Amino acid sequence: MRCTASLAIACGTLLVLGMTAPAQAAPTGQTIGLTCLACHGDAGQGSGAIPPLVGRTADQLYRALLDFKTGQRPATVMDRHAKGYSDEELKAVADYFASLPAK
Amino acid sequence: MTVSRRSFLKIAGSAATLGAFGTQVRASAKGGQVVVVGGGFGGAACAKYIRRFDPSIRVTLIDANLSNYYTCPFSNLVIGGELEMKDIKVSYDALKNKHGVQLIEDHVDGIDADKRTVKLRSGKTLGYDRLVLSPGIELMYNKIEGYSKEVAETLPHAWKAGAQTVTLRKQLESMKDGGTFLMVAPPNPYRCPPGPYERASVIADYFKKHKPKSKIIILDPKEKFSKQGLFMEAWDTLYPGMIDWVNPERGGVITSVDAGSMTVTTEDGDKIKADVINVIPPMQPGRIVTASGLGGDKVWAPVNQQTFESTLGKDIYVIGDSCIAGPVPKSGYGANSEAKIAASAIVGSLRDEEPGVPKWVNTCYSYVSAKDAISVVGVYGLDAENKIIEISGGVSAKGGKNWRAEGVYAKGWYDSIRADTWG
Repeated sequence: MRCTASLAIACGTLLVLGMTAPAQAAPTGQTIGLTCLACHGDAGQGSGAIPPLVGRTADQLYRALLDFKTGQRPATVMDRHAKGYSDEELKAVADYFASLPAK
Repeated sequence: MTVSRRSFLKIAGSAATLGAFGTQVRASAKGGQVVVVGGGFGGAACAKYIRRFDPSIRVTLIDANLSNYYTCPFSNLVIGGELEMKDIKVSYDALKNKHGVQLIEDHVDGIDADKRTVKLRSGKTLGYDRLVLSPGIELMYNKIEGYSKEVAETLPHAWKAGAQTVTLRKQLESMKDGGTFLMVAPPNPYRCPPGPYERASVIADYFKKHKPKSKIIILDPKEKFSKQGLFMEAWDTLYPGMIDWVNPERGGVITSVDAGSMTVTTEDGDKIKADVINVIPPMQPGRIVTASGLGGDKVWAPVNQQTFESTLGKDIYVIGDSCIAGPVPKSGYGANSEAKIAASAIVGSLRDEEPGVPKWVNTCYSYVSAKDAISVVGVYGLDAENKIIEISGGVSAKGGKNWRAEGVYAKGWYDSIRADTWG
């Protein structure tokens, strides 16, 4: 199926963040990811000195999150955040941001 | 045409098939009408995200203050003289024009949960399929003898950003060097746990630069407070001897205030005179929550911790300061985080789908000077009994090495959460 002309606007809105209404057995990458937007820009594009999450590969993001979690990478707040997630959850949120369009 | 949950998820999981997803959503969505009461960090974000999750749902946002709304976060920087009111003013244009949220500037006077309607002060009645209440807090003026909404014109609380913020700023500007600023801190629970101490910090910074002989007294009914170790370290380092935090044992509990003589009387009978008095009274949930009995015998509204649906009112969701959310603080970020969980649950419930597994975050920066900040972080999830627990978090490291960096990140945070909520 393709986006019909009459649906193009609605599809465009959804494309911004790949929005879906989550309903799964574990927190999805999107559920976790949406809470990141309060700091990292409303489309993950970064905000001031806070770096972007979009425009990076899933592997780059996952590696950074793991390094924050283990304390290998210096941080102000991200170490405290990353420790709150399993490796699987960090992978899921890395995949989510890697799937979004770079700004 | 209906779509099974399994195929829906399969389609939704791939960004490459969003065209198909768009078609499926329209086919499966039942639409519906959601009414959101309160246009702050919780209500505005919830309205926006419901529309983003499913544009077929009609969302109406009601707030009495839409044309005159200022954020509480960063209002302390206005009080400290670092920012102006225009810097913390919010526009609802994007909610309306970009996200298709219908706006109504009015008070909500009542809810009829059986008929599923809300009554507006203008006399209008609105029907809903799902109702979201995010009314913030109500200040309990009558809990302090000598205090009232009228007296607050002289002894400002400045705990709802707006005219009160300006009043307190002007009083500080007119205060003579060598004067005393006295803050009456609120008891738990209240909106923005570190807020009073951030306020004291940025006022101290202003005094240090412009009125260095001045003093700050904080009368506190609490034994301890948010980020206490970090605040006290900053006060000792940046403003030695300027701030006197008075705990209950030393006389921090007050019994009355007197605007005429500019004095505060403590439980011990001491009368303390000051030049500027900031009274932050006890708080309760926003009036609509109290008036509709949604606090039950708990005062703050008990909610299903997975969805934020009230345990006392079907199809009514309470988010933000007014609800009970376990360890999640009453903060703008907390409300924004809860809004997304509730939005997802509401969209799901309108499609008869089970709610997803939630996860919340809170990140609160507090300035300890005009340029330096500290932070507290919380990552929250549900335990086996569906109670919200803190999984990770804590405050900034001691020693002040990240003060300047966090001061810069705090500004990024502010711009981002504003855009995420109202943009």
